[in-house]
This record gives sequence, C-alpha cells and structure tokens, in this order.
Amino acid sequence: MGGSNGNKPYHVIVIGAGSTGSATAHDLALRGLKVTVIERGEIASGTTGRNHCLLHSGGRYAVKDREGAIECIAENMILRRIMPDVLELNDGLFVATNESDLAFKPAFLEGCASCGIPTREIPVDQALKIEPYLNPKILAAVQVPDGVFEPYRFCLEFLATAKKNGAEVLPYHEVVELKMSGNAVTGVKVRDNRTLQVRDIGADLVVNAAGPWAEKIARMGGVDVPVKPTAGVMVTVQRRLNQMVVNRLNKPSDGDIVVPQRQTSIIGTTSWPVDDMDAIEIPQEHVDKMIAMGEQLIPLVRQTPIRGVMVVARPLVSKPGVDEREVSRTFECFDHKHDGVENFVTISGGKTTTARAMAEKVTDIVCARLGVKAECRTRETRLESYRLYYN
Amino acid sequence: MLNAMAHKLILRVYRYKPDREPYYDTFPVEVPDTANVLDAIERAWDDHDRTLMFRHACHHASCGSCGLRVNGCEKLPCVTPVADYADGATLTIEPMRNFPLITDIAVDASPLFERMQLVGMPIIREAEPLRADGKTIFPEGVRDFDRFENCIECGLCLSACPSMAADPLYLGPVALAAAERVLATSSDSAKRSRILELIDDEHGLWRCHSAWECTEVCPYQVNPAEAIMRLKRIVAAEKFKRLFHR
Amino acid sequence: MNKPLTRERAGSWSWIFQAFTGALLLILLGLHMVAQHFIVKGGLRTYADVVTYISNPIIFVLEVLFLIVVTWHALLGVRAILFDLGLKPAAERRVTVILTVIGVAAVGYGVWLSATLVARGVS
Repeated sequence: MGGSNGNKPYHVIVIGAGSTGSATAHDLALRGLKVTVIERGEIASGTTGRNHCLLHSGGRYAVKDREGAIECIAENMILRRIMPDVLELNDGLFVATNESDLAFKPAFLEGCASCGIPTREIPVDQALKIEPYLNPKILAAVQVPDGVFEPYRFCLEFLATAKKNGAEVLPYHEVVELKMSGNAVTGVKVRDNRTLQVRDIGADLVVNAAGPWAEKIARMGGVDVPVKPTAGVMVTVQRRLNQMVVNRLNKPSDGDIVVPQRQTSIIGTTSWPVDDMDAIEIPQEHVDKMIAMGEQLIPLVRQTPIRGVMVVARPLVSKPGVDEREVSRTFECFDHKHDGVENFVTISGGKTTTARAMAEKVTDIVCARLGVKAECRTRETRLESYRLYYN
Repeated sequence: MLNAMAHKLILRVYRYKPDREPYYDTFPVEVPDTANVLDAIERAWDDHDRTLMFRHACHHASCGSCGLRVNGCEKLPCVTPVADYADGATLTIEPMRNFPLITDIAVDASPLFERMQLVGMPIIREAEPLRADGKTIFPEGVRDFDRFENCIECGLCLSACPSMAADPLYLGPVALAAAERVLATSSDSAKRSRILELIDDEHGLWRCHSAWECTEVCPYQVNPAEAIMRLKRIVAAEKFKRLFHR
Repeated sequence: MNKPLTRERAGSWSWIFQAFTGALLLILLGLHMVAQHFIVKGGLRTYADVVTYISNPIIFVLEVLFLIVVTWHALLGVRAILFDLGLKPAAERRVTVILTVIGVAAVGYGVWLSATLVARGVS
C-alpha cells in the first residue's frame, strides 16, 4: 500500500476547492494519502463556479494550441466515463458565419484530425434543422464532441469520492499564513470563518490549487508563480436557445461561443488582465459585445432578455511578452523546491475540462517528493454521486 | 444599449457565529442596476467584511447553492435583480429556514441532498424541443438531446414549506417532486415500488397540507405542489389496487 | 442529522380516509340540511317530528353514517394538527389510540342515544 510513512499515511493539504483542488484531493486520497482540503468559502465559489460550463472537445484549441487540444479531447472522453451524471452530452458545432470563418475551416479540420478530435461536417440546411435558432446565414457547420457540465456538482463528485476515501474537506476556512520551518513548508495557519478562530494544521506537503489566487498563496511561502489572472465576462439569457454548443469556426476571440445549459444559454467570453480578483467591475461594453457577437451565431440572442452577467478571473500561466489570448490554456505544475522552498507545490492554469489531468500531474509530483509509490487510478474510477458529498 | 446606472442598497445581513448571539450587520453597497442580489452580497463581502460567509458558485441559477431569504421571502439571489427593489432600499438578508445553520447566511445543505439521494432522481433528463412546433432532428452520434433537470436542488421549497417546519422527518416538496419525476419517467418496477413505499408514510407524501408555498418560491417553475397532488392520486389508486390484488 | 429519514416506512390511509370522508360529508351534510331544515316550516322540526323522522330505518342508517363520517373526519383533522406539533413516535401512537377511543365512544353514544329515542317513541 502506497501513501504511508511507516504506518502513518502522509498528510497533504490542498488549498482551494475549485475543480483543480477537488480533483487533486480525489487523486491523492485514491492513492492512499491523508488529505485535507481548505477552501475560504463555498465549494466552487471562485473561478470554477462562474464557468462557461463547456466540456471542451479541444476544437477551440486545435489550430493554435495543439497541446491544449490533445489534453482536452483525452479528458473529455475520461470525464464521460467517470462523471456521466453531471454532463449534458449533446456535442457541439463550429459554424462559419462569414468568408473569413470559412477560410479557417481547412486548418480547423486538419488541426482536429491531428489532435484526434473527431469531426463531422453537417450540410448547412441540416444544421439549421437540428438547431432551429442558428443564424440561417451560416456557411458551414462542423460537429465535434463538445459537452456541458454543472460546475458545482463537478467539484462535489470529486470531493464526495475523496471523502469516501478518507479526505477531510473544510469549506469556510481561509489560509492566512503558510507555516514554515527553515525553508520547508510544514502546514498552514487557517482562520475558521465560521467561528473566526485561527488554528494551525500541520502537513507533510501543501498543494496550492488556488487558481487565480495561487500567486497570493505562493507569496506566503516567499515564492512567485507566473499566474496571470485574466477576467472574462459571460452573459446568460432567459431561455435555452440551442441544444448543442455553438462555436464560431475561427481562432479564439471574444464572444465566440454560446453554451446551452439547463434552461439557459451562456454567451462568452472576453479576456482582460486584472489585479484584484475579488472586485472585478463588469465593463458594459463587454456585455454589449457578447450580445453583438452572440447574435452572429444565434440571432435570437438579441431579443432574449438577459438573466445575468457573470465575471470571474481565470488563472492563465503567463509567458513573458505573450498576449493573454495567445497564452496556452494548458496547465503548469511548479515544485517550489526549485525556488528553494520544500514541501510546497503549485498547480495552476488549465481549465475545468482538464482538472483531472492537472490533478494526476500534481499528484505524481507529490508522490515522487514523498517517496510514495502508487499509480494514478482516476482515469477509470467512477466518481460517487455529488449528493453523497453531504452524507 | 443603455449604460448601467448605480443602484444603492442597504443590506441588513443576518450574522451568526457559533457560541454568539445572532445579530444583524448593516452594509451599504452600490452595484450597477443590472446586477443581481448575489452581486450586492458579494460586494458587501468585498467592501465590508471578508468573514461574511454565504453560499454561491455558478451565479446563473444552475448550481442551486445560493438560496436565502430577502425580506423574509425565499429567493435565489443570483437571478433576483437588484432592480426589483427601489434604489436606496434596505434588504434584510437571512438564511433559509428548516436547514441547520453553519454560519451567517450559509446553511448546511445535507437535509436536502440526503432526501434527494433517498429518492435518486437522475439529474439528466431528455431535453424538450426548442420550438414547440418543430420536430427534433438529432445530429449523427447523438441519440437524443439531454439536459439537466429543472430542479436545481436549491432547497427554497424546503425553507418555505410550513409542513417542513413542523416535521423534520418530512420528505419535503423537493424530494416528493423528484419522486413524481421518477414515477413519471421510469418503468423500472423495482424502483417504482421502492419510491411508492418511501413516500407512502405519515412523514412522506401525506404530511403535505397543500400550503403551495413550494410552488410559490420555486425559481424554476418545477411546481412541487402540483406534483404532490398528482402523487396523492397515484399512490391512493395504487393502494386500492393492492388491496384487491392480494 | 436527519438520519432517521432512512427508518422503516409505514403506509398510511389516513389522508385517503380524510379525503373520502370529506367527500361523503358533502353529500350527507347536504341531505341532512335539506331534510332537517330547508324543507321544514320555520327551519326547525319539533322533538316529536325528529323522533318520527329518524324512526324511518333508511333515515336512521343515513344519520348514523353521517355521525360516523363527521366524527372520523374531524378527529383525523385534529390528529393532523397534533402531528404538526412535532411529536415523538410514541406520542404519535398515543394520540392515535386516544383519538380512536374518543371517536368510537362518541359514535357509540350517538347511536345508542338515537336508538333509545326511537325506541321510546313520541309519547
């Protein structure tokens, strides 16, 4: 049995209960480690919650970011197996709305093919029968295996399974300090936001999975991570206007997607760097742009009343001199041993679709650091129902 | 499109930390008039007090985590526009009733999920056609269009239900509406008889006194009260049938 | 915390009975009102008229049925209200037993009284 240090299992603290932290807690617990998840608020109340809810096929990245695209399609197929009950699986369409989009099609089909993303061209008249509210002026439509998830339950399924395997989940607990001994992290000081009491929790290793807040946590350990919080606006409307995810057949751009979910359609998104992730103002011109761009995909977007506008910062791992739209949406794992701090690892970047892969990578690193020999089994382990999180 | 105007509100928020007397905090906030009440609460958290604990995740009425009471009425604040309240109005923000309170306005959702687990309604259902007149055509590889259930498991109906307040063992509107969905959509006879047995109980279906508060507060027009009325008919008929088939 | 939710379930007829007696009440109360009040001069029968009236075996049966249905329906209502107070299972059982005894006694007394009056006649 892996995960143990003599007869006592190693204890790992995971900071953050978004998709990355939840998936990481699950992987660690499955490999026999003792896990404590610390989240300052509610599960998924940060970036993961205010999600587009898109289960990426990878099509969006197939041309410019092959690495990201390959990750997406692989994880998409895995998530279909391990959490089918929290996925709306109706596939997606990439549609060309003009000549420039149409010119992108060969590169798109080629990119998808080289990344292993199945595609199928649908004649326009048929696409319009399938999706009656699609812009009738579209010039081409390509079907891809996109999907839709429910972000809160996405996290709860991972956490429910982690709890079944012995993990402890502490929502409403905020890390106020990293406990250090010399150059090694030995645990965290947390404020229990329910009682306002502060206490120390010791651990053999701390994983920073705080998404766009990762830099804030890293600084507590005296290290930097190149995470660039990048805000995005999403607009939800009062009606479900499509059954399949509708994407613009072109390079990633503002307002290039309409994701149907439950009884709504979500139009997204924009992208601009922010400093304060907790107080992002919603620029009205971004909302207007979402409607204007969304309308090109589904004209009814304009007439449908807005239900709400959400904004949130996403954690992009920045590369010097690269524009935020160009930054790969893949993830990075930082073992801060290389920065001179022991027992402290940050996982950031990525997206909800690739949360399990991120967890696998960070758990591999954690296990290697602790000398634990245990294989990752999250690819084939069917997750517990989200309802059991509350058991 | 018109630019958003500033909307001022005074949030009078219920505060509770274990071992202390509950009290109310007053937080003046300013949000765009296009914002929802949840944005105003988040603003209070950011501007005034980072220890204010409230539940929220998706901000678009899909996760069901943010339910609470505004001026005594059960609301899903993520889709309750601040414009529903006058500029300068005071909003009393309180936690849902009939749930154990964790802290401030954050409740423990276990009673809700425990009930839903007991009933076992799948969250995925077949999607209705987008256009009532249109015949649905499926793309290759898709059997039928699926979508998440209307019920988002927010618990507002449990908070508003007077029978729930009287009887902590009551299954409650959310679970009974879910049971009705299972009976209406599943032909698995073992599952059906398990559900019938579960709800045919003094603390089950028969505890409903038809106050219809659940339907009143449901943010998604699930209409649990009507579902319960249908269930009463179904179960009564079933009981008579069994009486004569023994 | 609500773990007793998974306890054993006991089927219940009380709501069905209450709905059923409620429907019967509508009919029997209607008959009673018409026969005893609406078609009677002054709206009220004399003592002698009442005794004569219930001496008719069909009417006697109907009135006894009316009595049973009223009592049953009312006590089921009282029981539902008491159960809303959040009683423990033992207390709930006690309430059911006590109300059943009261109901049987009330109906028994009513039937006995009517029968006695009929037997005594008008003289």
